[in-house]
Amino acid sequence: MSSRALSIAATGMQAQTLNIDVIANNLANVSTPGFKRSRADFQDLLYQNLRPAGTASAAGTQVPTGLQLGQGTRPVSTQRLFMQGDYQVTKNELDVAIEGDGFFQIMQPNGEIAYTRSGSFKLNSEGKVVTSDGYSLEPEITIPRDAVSVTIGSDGTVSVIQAGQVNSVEIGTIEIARFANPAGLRAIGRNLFLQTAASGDPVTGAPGAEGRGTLSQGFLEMSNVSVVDEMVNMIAAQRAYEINSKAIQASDDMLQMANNLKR
Amino acid sequence: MSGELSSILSGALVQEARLDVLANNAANIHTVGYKEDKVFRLPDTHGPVWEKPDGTLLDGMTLNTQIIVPVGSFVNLDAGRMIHTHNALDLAIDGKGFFTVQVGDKQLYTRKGDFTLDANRILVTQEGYPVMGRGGPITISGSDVEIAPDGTVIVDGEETDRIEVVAFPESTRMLKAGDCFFEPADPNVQPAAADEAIIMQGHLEGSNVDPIRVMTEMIDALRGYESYQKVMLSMNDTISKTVNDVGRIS
Repeated sequence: MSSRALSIAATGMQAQTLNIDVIANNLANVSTPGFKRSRADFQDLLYQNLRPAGTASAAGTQVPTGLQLGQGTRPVSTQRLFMQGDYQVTKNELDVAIEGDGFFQIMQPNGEIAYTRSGSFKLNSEGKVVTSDGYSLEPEITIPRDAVSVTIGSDGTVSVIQAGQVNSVEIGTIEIARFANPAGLRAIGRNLFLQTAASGDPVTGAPGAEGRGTLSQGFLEMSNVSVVDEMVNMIAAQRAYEINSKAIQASDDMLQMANNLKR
Repeated sequence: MSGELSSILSGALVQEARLDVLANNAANIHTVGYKEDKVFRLPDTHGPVWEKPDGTLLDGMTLNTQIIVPVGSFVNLDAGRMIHTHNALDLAIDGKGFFTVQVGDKQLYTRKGDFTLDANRILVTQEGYPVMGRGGPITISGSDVEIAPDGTVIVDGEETDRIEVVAFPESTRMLKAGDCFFEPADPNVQPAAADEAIIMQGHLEGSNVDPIRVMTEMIDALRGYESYQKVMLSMNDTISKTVNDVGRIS
């Protein structure tokens, strides 16, 4: 029955809808610092063996080859792509970008450490370095109130010059974490990621060592979404949606023709 | 049923099966590692059904009692487009060959290389089946993974294993097992190590479905079906004439 093609093509249309959803989310975050784009990942469904290869047909002959009929597609995962985003000069003292691998560690209010590539830090009322949501950097760094300038070295050392002083004082080090498989991290929104079994354990330490990237003060890592790429993906997804709808149409036409056999 | 009508019916059913397969190809246009199915028509088989009491066939008497859709499919294993993802555990095979994956107690083969790690730091597929290396499942416990073009797994600068990429003899028919897995139709066929295959880290192999061809073949299947329908209708007219008009007097 050709209505099989109807349901197969329907799975294709559902898959492309999800694909468009993922692309839309990427495009919505085109200027979110530290955002990493995702890609919808699909898989084919089980196959129906209509005539298994090698089964006997009539008169003792063997079917040399069978018919395998797939049942469509299904989404399996959304995969995050941790390509480097573009850097933007902000000249802001507390904007830090990681050049290379690694994540800033952020202490969430629930005591769990989250990871981010977004380095647009602020100061809270106590002088602690926090994210835009007020979550503090881990290990905590507190800038003295009388500091007139803050310098963050490429190796993560934070030093300040206090009012009336000539020499800078080192007040702490920003440590970053690195994962064997960043794609396995779980996004929880607010630019934050959580460690999972798939990501592996974080290897934390000073930037610039053991394969970790270095820090650049006054820069922000922007989203790694490329509008052109997403547009191309969107066109491809839309056309794939269309071709699946054409399959539904073709199947519908066939059913109609079959029905018209009886007059 | 008359012989002509049944062979035309089987022709129409072939077009139906073709559309089903094309719909599946279209649905998997963005499935990583997917290989398209192709349909071809087999010679019609006529089953002789009238036999003498001793089991020998009655001469000249053949009749189709069951409609067999004379159609077969095969997998087109042409390479798909390479997608650059930069992810350390995304692997694509350039050239012939399959990754070996342990699914339950048997090994299945795939070109879908978007691997990840499970809780025990074992390299697995998205469904959690371990990807096999030369020495069994591959454990990646360091923080830096490099996979060399020959499949050597280098964790933190140390060679730990080699990803097993195998190829089957050219004539082997591959069957699909779902989830982008393949298995040889004949379970006795033994794969050989595919040493010429190049593994590309940070890449994935996209689907090899060509949308333009799917579209044109879909039109072809639909119009082919229509032709068979027209023939059936005109045969119906002919039979109607024979039954109702021939032999009518006055």
